[in-house]
Amino acid sequence: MAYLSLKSLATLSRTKLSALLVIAAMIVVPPLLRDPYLSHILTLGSIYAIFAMSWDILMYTNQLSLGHSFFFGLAAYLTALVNSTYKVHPVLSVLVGVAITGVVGLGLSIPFFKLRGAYYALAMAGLAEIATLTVKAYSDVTGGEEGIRGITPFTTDYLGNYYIALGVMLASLIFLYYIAERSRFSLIFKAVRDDEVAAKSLGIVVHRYRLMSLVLGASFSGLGGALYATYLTIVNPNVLAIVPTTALVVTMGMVGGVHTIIGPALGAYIIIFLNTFFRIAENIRLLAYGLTATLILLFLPGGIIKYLSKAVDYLSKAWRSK
Amino acid sequence: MPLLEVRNVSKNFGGLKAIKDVSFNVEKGELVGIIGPNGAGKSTLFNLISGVYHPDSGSIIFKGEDITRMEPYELVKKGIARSWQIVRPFRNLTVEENIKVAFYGGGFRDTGSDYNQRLVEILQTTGLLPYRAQLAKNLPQGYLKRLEVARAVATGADLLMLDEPFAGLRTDEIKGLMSLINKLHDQGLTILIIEHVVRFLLELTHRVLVLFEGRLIKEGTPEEVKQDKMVIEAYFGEEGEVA
Repeated sequence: MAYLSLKSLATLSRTKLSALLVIAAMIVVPPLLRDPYLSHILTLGSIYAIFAMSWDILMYTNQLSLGHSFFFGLAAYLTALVNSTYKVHPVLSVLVGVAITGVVGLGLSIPFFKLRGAYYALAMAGLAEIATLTVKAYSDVTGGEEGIRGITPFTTDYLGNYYIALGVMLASLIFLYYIAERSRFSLIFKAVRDDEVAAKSLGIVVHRYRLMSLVLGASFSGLGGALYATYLTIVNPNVLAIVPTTALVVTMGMVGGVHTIIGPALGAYIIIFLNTFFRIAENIRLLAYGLTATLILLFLPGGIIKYLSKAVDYLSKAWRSK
Repeated sequence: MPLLEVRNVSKNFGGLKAIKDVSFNVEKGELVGIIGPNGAGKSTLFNLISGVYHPDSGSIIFKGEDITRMEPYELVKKGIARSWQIVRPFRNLTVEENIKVAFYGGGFRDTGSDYNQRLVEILQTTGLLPYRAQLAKNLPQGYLKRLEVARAVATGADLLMLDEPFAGLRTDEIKGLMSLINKLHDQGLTILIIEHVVRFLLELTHRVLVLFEGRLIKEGTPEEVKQDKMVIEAYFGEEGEVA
């Protein structure tokens, strides 16, 4: 036991060290570069990272959410409505959006927890589709296809927005990572994922943990959506739609590495970056982006995070032996 | 008061009457076996007691409390735990973590020295101590069967229900598991086993119930059961001998 914890401490500090370096770079570099466009990409990356982690926390208990844009879009619209129509302060409107989305997640457990696997995934997808159509139909409240404009942002300073998104992303990452990997729930999540029936027969109240991950998934997805609305100051039905929004989050999660929390966050930055990078060739942008994502999935199964941590291991060993 | 009372329990699946009006008791400290040919309803009966299914009629009483409608996780809190015929380990958890999940399920959340002592004790008793840090998916079948038993014990159960623990094992592995079951019984656990490998079960248990076509056709000591004409017919038709 003693040697085990020592060993894990050693690998932990190495990983921690590289993580701290990345975070330090993210804090220090943007103001030095003074590049609004890069800051914008990274701000979007942080917002989508929150969204991608929220998708992953559901995967921890085998809930494949193929309608995850529902929560993202719901919170985005709620925040937008509260903020622009009722002129509520941006911070408060974000909180309202997140809270209602969390409660909706809680309520959804009643019909959804009878479903498993593909049925659950499809029901979620249906939910997102219904929500998208509803928002388009009730245009007097939601602005229809046009969406809602004129949302008051936290700040108009690009660095300010960058740091807000980064801060909220880091706080979400630490919280979700702790719950999923370091708390006593971690073991139970993994057990439920491996074999729900066995977990139940050993006294684990499985639906309690599925509920916990659904509410967390809904709330943090909502947090991403609410920040998205206040940052971009507009929302349109796309935020609720399976394509592009759910497709995006699933790709981020898969590319980054499912069941790791950190992986999907990383995947979010990568996908947002790729998506933007290929704008240099606008007419083949979607093709190039899709192809790259597919290649990553094909040749790096398990996600980039897995190979990244291997690379960190390898490099630090090489450095030590020198 | 018996530890477990099964009273007039019946269960149908569509038109199939899987269990028909079965009643029996298990006293505290007993080591009881349930045998029966394929399709006799052994597994159904097990699933009814462990809360996986609920009976259509009749009731199940544990420690004087009606548990007929309770869910498996509630039954664990009451003191009933089961193993599975087809092993269901948490494949991506280590042996030790598998047992810790059972601790949580049984309501033991202490991380103090008592907790660790209990963990080592269970690993030792079940012969899993050398494998504690191994992922369950890398264990051989014989040890997976032991892990099934270890997890059920770790929930803190008073009544241990073992679903065909010997199925798929070699004779030497069966012998080892039998001595483990005896050890657990000596430690005060009440044990109910269903088994297809009749020879070993008759050797192990003190009392045997025989199920046939969903009915309890015989109840007695292994000796009595072995010589019972109805039991022999149930297994082999008109002529033959059990074991």
